[in-house]
Amino acid sequence: MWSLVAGQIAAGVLSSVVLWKGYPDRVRLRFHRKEAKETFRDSRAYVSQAASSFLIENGHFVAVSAILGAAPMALYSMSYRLAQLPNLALSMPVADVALPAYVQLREDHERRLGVLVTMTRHSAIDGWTLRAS
Amino acid sequence: MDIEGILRLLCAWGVIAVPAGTVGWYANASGGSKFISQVNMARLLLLTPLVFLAATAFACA
Repeated sequence: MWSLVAGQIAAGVLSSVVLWKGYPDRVRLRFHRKEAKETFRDSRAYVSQAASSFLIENGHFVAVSAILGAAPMALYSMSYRLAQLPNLALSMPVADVALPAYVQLREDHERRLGVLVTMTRHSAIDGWTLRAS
Repeated sequence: MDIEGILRLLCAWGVIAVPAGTVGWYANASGGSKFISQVNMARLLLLTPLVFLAATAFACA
């Protein structure tokens, strides 16, 4: 189990290093109380939805492992991951692109809606195709 | 429910989950995080007891 934890930490550290190296401006670690306050206020709603999404996505694992035990939990977890595979393969990379694109087009409502329709169409068709195969 | 029925349910849910996800990102990037958070809280209140009930029903079966 600890190898999984170590893998997650290594992936996080590696992606941070790559992003830090790839970004043209050097970022220095400093604490700004005013900016921290503003960031906390602005991100409160997003953090709240991310936390509630996390609970929704993982609450059933708690129920299954607590009531049915470890062996059924392993089977359930694997079945769930297999059903989720098309979503995980498509949604995560698309989400990484979609959020900055939407934010960039924040003022341009028409184009933003266009991006939404295109992304929904492609991810849905790709997901359905993967599921059917 | 037999395994085929369960797999059909999972597939139907997966098909809905993809477009729901893209709409979620759109809402998040458009200042709709608070609304999504409220919807999620309502879903949590509804789903949490249901998930525990379903697990208990499988344990008893």
